[in-house]
Amino acid sequence: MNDAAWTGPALRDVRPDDDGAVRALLREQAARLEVVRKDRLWQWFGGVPSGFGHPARDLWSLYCAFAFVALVGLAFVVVGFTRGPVVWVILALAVLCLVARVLLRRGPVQRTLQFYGRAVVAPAVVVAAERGDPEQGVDANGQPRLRLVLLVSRDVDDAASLARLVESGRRLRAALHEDGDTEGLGELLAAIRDREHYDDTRIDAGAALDRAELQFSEAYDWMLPGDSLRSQLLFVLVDPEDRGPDCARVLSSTFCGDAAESLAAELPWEAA
Amino acid sequence: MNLSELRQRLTRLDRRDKLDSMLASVDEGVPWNDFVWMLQFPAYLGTAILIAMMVKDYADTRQDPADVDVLVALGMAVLCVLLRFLHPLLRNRMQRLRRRLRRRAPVLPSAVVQAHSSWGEDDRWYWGTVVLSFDPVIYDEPQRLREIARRLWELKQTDRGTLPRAHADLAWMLYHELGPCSSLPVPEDLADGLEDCRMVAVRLPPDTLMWDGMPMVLALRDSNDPAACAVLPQAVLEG
Repeated sequence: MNDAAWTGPALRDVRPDDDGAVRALLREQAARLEVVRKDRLWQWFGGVPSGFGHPARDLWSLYCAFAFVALVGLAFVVVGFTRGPVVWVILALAVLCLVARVLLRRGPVQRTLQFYGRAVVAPAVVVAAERGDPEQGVDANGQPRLRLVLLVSRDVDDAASLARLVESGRRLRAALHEDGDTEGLGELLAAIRDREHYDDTRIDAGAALDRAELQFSEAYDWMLPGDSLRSQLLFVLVDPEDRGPDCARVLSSTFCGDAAESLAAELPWEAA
Repeated sequence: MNLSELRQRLTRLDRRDKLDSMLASVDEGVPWNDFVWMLQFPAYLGTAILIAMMVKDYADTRQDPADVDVLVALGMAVLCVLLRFLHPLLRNRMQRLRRRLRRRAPVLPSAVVQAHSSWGEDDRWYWGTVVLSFDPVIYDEPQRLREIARRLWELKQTDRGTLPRAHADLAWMLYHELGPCSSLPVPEDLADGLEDCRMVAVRLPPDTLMWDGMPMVLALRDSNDPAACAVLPQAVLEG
């Protein structure tokens, strides 16, 4: 079997208490990740570059390419009149534009590819959700992105560990709405309530929640199973070596496949 | 349908720069070769201005132009020629692949293995998977591809652990639906004796050009890149 194919059943309906199916589904998500890596299908994760800098950097780098061409053209015309310092200044500016283009792109591209190269797929449970600022972007239906607080665990590999993650998410949701046990969760609750930037950052959720991680991300409705927040279960792409901004992504339900969507349907979202 | 005439028509469309916009778009990166092509025009202008200035100076002073001025003028003229004729050398890999596809790839019938359920119901392009073959017999017996497509479709819901490696690869590609991944060869036992049979991820146009119900495609034999195959829309007959 080559490294992009994976021997396994053609999963259809996966129930959270079906240990064999859950294990197969989790292995399938890892195999899907390898398909993307093998053929460099980075558009499934947001393209290259994605994050790791001002969002307009890629556009500025394109403008630098246009400016380089325009300045070289101008130099060609000016050389008909003079070969003095003016021509050399224009050519120097053109070279600067080219250098600026490389510098603007190189960092975000390298960091994005580094993230995609070492990231892993992990299940996540939605703890809290609210609509974000419409000025930050809306989908085709005019809906702003959802700001999601997710409980992520990279140690889920069977039905039992998935059930523990779901239970931890339920406990945290209840504590957040002050009708559950809040012991040992004070710092986490404060971090959630005080959160301002949903930039895919993660923090350690501590021993109280089985050393899972809290992730703060945004996602459009179309990325979610059923095209809206109907399930508490998502899959995310996380960098195991960096919890900083842009080192995680919410994966679209299309990437995860129909079997993942069937499991998500078994774990409905419980809004307060 | 006369496929030879269709191939000639496609070449004519490409020479008029119309074919590329009819096919599914592909990210070809920054078109540096096009930028270099555009730079020839300011180079012509600069050269013309330089020569005009030299002529004016001679008319005013009756002195031969300085050697350095002549050298610069010659250099600009050479630059104009280089920009005009050498810009194709700056085409990147994807641009070269797509150009070969448009100009030289044979027109082939194909059979749909799987496609989005909404394909053909609106004006959107949808990802799908087709099977095709470079065996010349396919022009006389294109319907054989339909049977191969049916066998491939049946693999999708099969436990891949029970399949031979080549079959499991095909089943996995159909199951994960993550396009556009590289095309895969169809093994002999599934290919009904056809040579060089492949399963390819493609984008299906809303108005696909059909031959007896089978999508017509351009495909390059020497590449398994997904961009080395393009499904033809009806518009190629109307353009």
